[in-house]
Amino acid sequence: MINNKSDLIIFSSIFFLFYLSCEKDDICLSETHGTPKLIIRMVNKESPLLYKGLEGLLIKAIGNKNPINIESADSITLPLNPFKNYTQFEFIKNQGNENENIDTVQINYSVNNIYINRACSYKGSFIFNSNALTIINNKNKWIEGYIILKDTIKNEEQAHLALLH
Amino acid sequence: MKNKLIWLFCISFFGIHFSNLAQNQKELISNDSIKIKSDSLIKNKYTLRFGFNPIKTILSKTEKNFNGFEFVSDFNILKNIYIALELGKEEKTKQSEQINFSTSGTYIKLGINYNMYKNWKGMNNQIYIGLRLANSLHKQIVNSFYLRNINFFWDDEIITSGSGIGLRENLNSSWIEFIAGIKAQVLKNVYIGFSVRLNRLMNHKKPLNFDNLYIPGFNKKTEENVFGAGFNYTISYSIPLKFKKS
Repeated sequence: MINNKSDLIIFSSIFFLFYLSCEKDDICLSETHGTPKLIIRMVNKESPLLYKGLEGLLIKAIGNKNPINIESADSITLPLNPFKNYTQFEFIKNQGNENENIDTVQINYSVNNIYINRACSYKGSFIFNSNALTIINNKNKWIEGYIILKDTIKNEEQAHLALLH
Repeated sequence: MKNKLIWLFCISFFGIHFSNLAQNQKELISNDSIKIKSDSLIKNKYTLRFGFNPIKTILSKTEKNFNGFEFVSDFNILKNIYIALELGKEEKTKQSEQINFSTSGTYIKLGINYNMYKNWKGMNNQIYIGLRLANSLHKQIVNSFYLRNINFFWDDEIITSGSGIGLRENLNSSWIEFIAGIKAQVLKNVYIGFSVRLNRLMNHKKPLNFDNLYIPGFNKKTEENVFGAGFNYTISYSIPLKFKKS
């Protein structure tokens, strides 16, 4: 027999706390950010401080049929492929017109996966290579150059790259 | 500061307890003079008990993803107070949500048990509460994971190499355990035991770009919660050591 009342209370309270300590479910909250997208600013080639929007621009990712939405004319968000160290896009200017112009752009980077937590696992982040952007087609380029604004892509708070045109 | 409070709690927890005990004994002594004699006899009887955790041994044989062993031992220094020790080794591979990882390491738990059960003469069962200070040395290996998938443009792929994957060595952690358990004699000198444990993580060395999702001896570590829980079974054998009062 347990002959002491306080003994019994302590004994049962440890048992009770043991059952209280049931773990909560591991759910990744929807507001937790995942792999960030690349944000590109379209700027004027003569004065890169000025935004220069481009109406009727269409962008396709090579090797992926999902559509890329362009919400604003001078700021474009592109999903980089976190399973490779480059992603190719077709930038189609004046799509459907007779003066349609396609530039195939390759973004070069290395991937750095960052641990979030048990439920959310990891997210990708990207670090630009020294040649962050190459234009694969040789002739008739409408993209004249680029400026790296931020060399790592960790979040979507500001633009990472400016395209001159 | 936080640590200090916890220690204060532990000390008072046991301090209050033993002061109660002393009072009860006094009552007994004044009531019955024969008791004193039997008490003094028991005081000179020591038992060293050692054993192992059978569940961990069975799981090591049946589960592909687990390999472990736990050695347990206790020794009474006073009539109802035992010094207790647990030594263990574990290797575990776990799929936790999107991450597959392996943890391996060793742990030591040292502390005391206080037996609250009043045995009949010749019996040596226990209902006890206990406290342990525990420490682990371990390593974590991230085997594979899926990236956080939210409105994902690219088809999801499992990542098994590159950034984030690999070994994190030289990790350690320490915690305290509050224990409630029983030990029953089933054969002469053979005991089976069961205990539940509430673990409070004190500190741990976090692996680079990962977390101690599982710690040998401590079990699963939850997010934003330093409390863990566990239970263990033991089979142990006792060696009675008798010293005659000279």
